[in-house]
Amino acid sequence: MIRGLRSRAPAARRLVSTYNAAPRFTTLSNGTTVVTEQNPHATSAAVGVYFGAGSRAENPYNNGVGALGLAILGLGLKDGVLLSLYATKELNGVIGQSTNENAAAAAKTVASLVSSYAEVIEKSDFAAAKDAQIAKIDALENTPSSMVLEHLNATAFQGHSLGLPTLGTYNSVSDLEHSDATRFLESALVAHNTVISASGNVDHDAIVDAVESSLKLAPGYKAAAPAAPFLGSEVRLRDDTIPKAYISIAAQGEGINSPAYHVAQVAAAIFGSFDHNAAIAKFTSPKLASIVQDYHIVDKYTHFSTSYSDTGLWGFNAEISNLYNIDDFVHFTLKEWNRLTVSITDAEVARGKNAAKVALLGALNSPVAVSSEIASKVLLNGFRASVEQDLASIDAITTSDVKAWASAALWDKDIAIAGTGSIEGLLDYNRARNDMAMMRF
Amino acid sequence: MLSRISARAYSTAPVKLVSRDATGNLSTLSVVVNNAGSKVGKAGVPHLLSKFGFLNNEVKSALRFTREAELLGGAFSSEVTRDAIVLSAQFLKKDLPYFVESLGNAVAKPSFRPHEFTETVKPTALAESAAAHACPEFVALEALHQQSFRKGLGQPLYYSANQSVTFDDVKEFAASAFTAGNVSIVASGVNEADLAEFVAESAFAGLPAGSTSAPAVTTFTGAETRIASSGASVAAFAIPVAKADYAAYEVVAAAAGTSTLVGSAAPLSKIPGADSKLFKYQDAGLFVVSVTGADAHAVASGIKAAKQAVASLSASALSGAVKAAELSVALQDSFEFSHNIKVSADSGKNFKLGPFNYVAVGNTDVLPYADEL
Repeated sequence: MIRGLRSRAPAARRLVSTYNAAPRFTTLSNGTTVVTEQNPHATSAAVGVYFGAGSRAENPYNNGVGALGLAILGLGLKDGVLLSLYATKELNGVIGQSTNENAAAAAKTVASLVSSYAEVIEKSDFAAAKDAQIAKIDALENTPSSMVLEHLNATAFQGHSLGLPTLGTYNSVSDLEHSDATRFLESALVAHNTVISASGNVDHDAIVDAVESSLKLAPGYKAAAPAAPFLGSEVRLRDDTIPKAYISIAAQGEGINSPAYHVAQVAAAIFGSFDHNAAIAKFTSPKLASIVQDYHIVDKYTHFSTSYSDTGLWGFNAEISNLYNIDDFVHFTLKEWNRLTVSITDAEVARGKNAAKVALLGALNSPVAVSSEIASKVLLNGFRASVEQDLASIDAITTSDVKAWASAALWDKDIAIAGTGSIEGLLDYNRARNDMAMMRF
Repeated sequence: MLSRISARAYSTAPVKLVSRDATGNLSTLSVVVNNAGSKVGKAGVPHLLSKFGFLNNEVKSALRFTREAELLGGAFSSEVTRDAIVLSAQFLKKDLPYFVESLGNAVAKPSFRPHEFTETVKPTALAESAAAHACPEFVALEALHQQSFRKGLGQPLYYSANQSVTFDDVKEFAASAFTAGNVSIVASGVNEADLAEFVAESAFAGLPAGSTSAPAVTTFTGAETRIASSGASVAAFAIPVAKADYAAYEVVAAAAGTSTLVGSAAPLSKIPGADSKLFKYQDAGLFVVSVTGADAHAVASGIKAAKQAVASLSASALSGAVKAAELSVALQDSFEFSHNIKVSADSGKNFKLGPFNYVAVGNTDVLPYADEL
């Protein structure tokens, strides 16, 4: 593929025989799944108890209660185990990090903690936890690039609980009480809706033993979640005191269970990220990047393919200081999206596939990342494909797969727009919507 | 523990090689040019040199390298630290020969072009510097390093426009720093024998012999700096730490409360915005206790409380924090930058808060002076 590079046959042969550590699964007597993935190089271990209910299982009045309950459980340093929380829209969890030698003790600590959640929450300083959560909400709202994404999600899935912010809002969190947290955990923390996932230099059997003896969960299954409809819409939080414009535009993406999950990832990787201030900004590959760098119409952009269990968002998040050219950036980007349907080339798809593979592997770079990734796939998809399977399905993607996906998911489809900062120059919704297709083919 | 046993070092390779194999399909390769970080040479030069990392070299144009590497899915970066310039790449395992060759060319066969210096290197370095200096914590840290070490580790990390650095300064610095004795390669997820073979065939083999040494470390305490700026306020004090005392100060950080152990019941976690951290370099470290916040009055009372908390750490609190310190060290450890710190039961035993350096950034009308702490 690369000019002037000799092929190295012996090395290639050896590389085929390398493999990813296979996770080991055990189902406990009460129906809870325990997964561990051993990594002999890990310097620390992470053991998490995850359950399949996040802000999507909340309502506008108790929004943020899951993250709050978990923040109370996952706080502090107990017997050499550092507790933290994992809160997303569909998954919550308590993670214990420890030295490798201490992993079984960490498993015991997190398992007994979630088994006695009612007691822990009753004894906790609830007001302090609420203040801490409100501080986190403030921090998010004061970081324009992340705030835009939260509002993009809120407008895309408006009227549905998937649109609720993960941490809740200032109003909803202020009104929460002990009993709200306990009631939420009572319905969510049940045996068949829970996964214990460990990563690090850990011993599977030791973790299973530790958890089997200390995890006491009520029997029960995950509550059914109604499908979340995507609504083409926009939200503008114009704030001219912020010197830049922060905008994000997305179409409906793919769910984790979608056969096109990896195709959407590859399509996002084709456009990738761009940073105007990188030394290689002038040379970076995506055609979109070479268009925008020439005129400095964007400072930074990232394309993403975010997947929830049954739906997702596929789009970009951008930071623009050239306030009079916001419309140019939106136009050129959406015109590039059109190319996914009509004229994307084999080389671009090949680059996207490799970038998606490296991103997939590179994201699994810490025990916490590995354990959360396994838990989210098991809870949201019912199983976790091995890394080889993921890589094989990325390898199998062809240019026509990308075109077919884009023509079904992007071509002339509604979009959600969110923006904050100096966005006077962000044109009317329909101007952007019209760029989702072109009159010629 | 296993990681140390399985890491292999080759003595016959042209440069120092530390690698380990791992399951999985991803490899990471870091080329560390020791004694080329901001502690060495004229201030600002190492940062500018790091920006030349993946630009044109004698073998390939920057355009060609970027396009090729991205086609292979590789992610790469060139950064300056206080100790070294680090070129790193992350890629699929099968592409190891390509990236060894390319990083070798980047280090051993650079072709510094004058237009790159003015058009790319300087503007991107200034942008990075400006972004960093927009953060008051960074400004405070820079000041603390300068007070504590003056030269060497005390030099500014990044280039700034008021330093007069010429193109020739950068070229001369590169010629002295990019030598076989200074360069080491740290690779993870690679077959060791393959790596050794590829490195021997690559441009790394043509690096000039020799090495440079790090400037001697001299430490200072008792200084105070006040920098008025808008935005959040930071008040911080720092103690220079000898390499032998890393374990002791990891224990102190764990006992006082540190951001690597967020939420622990240590005294600093009760003060909003307070943190303590040991910054570890090759020849010396810096233990920093800081308080950050939008409200300068809260920062002012916070830094006084934080100083009290650190000064009054009891012997039992320090011995009780040993386990926490072990975890903190494990969480911070990485294959690329391993400091091999062994925390033992009496690591923190003899700690006593002595003289320190102090910095106040932000609303200096409100933030206290060092002698008011």
